[in-house]
Amino acid sequence: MPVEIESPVLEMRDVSLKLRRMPVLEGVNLELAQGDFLAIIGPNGGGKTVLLNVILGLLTPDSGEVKVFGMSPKRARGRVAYVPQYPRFDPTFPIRVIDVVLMGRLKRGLVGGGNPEEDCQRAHAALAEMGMADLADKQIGRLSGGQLQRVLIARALAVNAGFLILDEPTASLDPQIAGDLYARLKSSSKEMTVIVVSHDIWVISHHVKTIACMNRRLHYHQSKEITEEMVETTYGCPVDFMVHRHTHRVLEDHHEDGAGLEGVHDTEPGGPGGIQGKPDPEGESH
Amino acid sequence: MLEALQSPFFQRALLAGLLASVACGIVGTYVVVKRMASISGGLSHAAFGGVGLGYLLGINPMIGATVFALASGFGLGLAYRRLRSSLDTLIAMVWAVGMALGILFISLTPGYAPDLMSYLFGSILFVPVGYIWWVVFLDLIIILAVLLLHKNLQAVAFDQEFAEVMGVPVDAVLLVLLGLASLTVVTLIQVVGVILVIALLTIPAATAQQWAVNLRHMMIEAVLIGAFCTTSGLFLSYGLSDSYGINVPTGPLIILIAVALYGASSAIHAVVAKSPRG
Repeated sequence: MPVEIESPVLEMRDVSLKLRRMPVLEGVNLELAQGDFLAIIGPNGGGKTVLLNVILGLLTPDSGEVKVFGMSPKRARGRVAYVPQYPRFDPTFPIRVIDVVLMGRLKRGLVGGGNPEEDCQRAHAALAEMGMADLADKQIGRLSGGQLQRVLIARALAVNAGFLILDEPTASLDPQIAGDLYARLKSSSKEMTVIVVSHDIWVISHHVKTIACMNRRLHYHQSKEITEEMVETTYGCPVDFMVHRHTHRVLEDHHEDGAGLEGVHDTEPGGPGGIQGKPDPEGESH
Repeated sequence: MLEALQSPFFQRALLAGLLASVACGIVGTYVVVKRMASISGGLSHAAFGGVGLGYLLGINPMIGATVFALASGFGLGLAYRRLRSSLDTLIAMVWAVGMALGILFISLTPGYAPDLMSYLFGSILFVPVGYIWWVVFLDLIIILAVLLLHKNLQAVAFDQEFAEVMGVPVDAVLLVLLGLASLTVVTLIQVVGVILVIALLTIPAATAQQWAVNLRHMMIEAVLIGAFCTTSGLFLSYGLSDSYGINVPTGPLIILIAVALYGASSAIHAVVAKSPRG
């Protein structure tokens, strides 16, 4: 997909949004270039999912400007792929894995279109990339949580978009499966621009290029460092003992590649209650 | 029992039941997986308001029913996207207002409304010839819509938000779905009546869902189950009347057969799901 060099993949200027008269986003600025891989962390109810919904054009901000590939989010539809928070649909829905992945090949317009052969090929390729090729004909209700999550990522990869947005893709998975999933995602998305919202800070810190903290305001310094200031303004809570335990566990699990965790270790971002909580309840409310 | 087949009334009823099962199975499948059963119930009761208006104005009550069902279908379709939280209450209101208007209009109509009961409980044995052609027409519209729009209908039913992000015009797809549901509901009123429409639309599809691997299978199974229910309901009511002199309306029998089938299917499904190979 050709991307004009001059327009960044994502441009957000001074974006603010209130939902039910509560400020959810305040003066958010964010710019992403092609190939960026950004993780957004922050407390529950901090507006992470809302931010994604604004980028996807599912919510319209009260003020500020959002441009995706230099266009309004609604016009950019079809060029952005999306992995929603699990679970969003009924597991008893009678549908096979491959048909779910094929939804990543949907076209704009009422009747749609597309080349069935090419769509099928891309869908199978995306499934294979997530290591799920042999489950193509399986009923989605029969998949485990980890398999289902991989199907949703395969569906997003099948879009073949330049910009991938993931909302808590690993919230329901254990850390090892989550780590494996990010590794697969990273290798499948080399050319893509990626935003991932996650609580699994120690897992994603291996794989992303930059990290931002979100609590109504977005704290982002185009780096992977999480400064004490970012943590304080984002979580607004002192670091407690639990963090040390988790941080040490992280370093033990991943000591062969600990460099990327320095920011995490030095600054001890928030309590695990804040970081690894339940899926953002606010994300369900729209 | 087979001599029933020689009666033109019975033949027409049989044909009407089979044709209605096609519409009912296909549209019912989307209604069930999109969890729009209560909307369909609202539509059929709103349609009763149209029946009443038809009486009052002296036009064919089914025309009034069609207009009311379509209008409330589109109205609820728009509300479905914008008023998620209060939708349930709104459906209940449309449901009740439809009935209230129907009763009010009929009471204002001079004279006696002789076949009012047929709209409440159906009268498949007395379908007019024109009805058969109407159901043929409706079936063709539904099949055409599904052939053209199935991908989008499935996507919106499965994961509306993702469909929207992909650029699928979700509002338009929902309106098509509710338009088809409205027309189907009006059609089924003739078979089982306003009050039981929701059951005939959803029970065969819900039974099919227990076994189907995809929506296409679910539709085919739902059509076959619907056809079985209407046919056996017809034979049962004919047999009861012929052999025992018991005259019962066919609509409720059709529904009870459908529910019995659903119960049996659920029990078998539970056993199969527990067994190791399931």
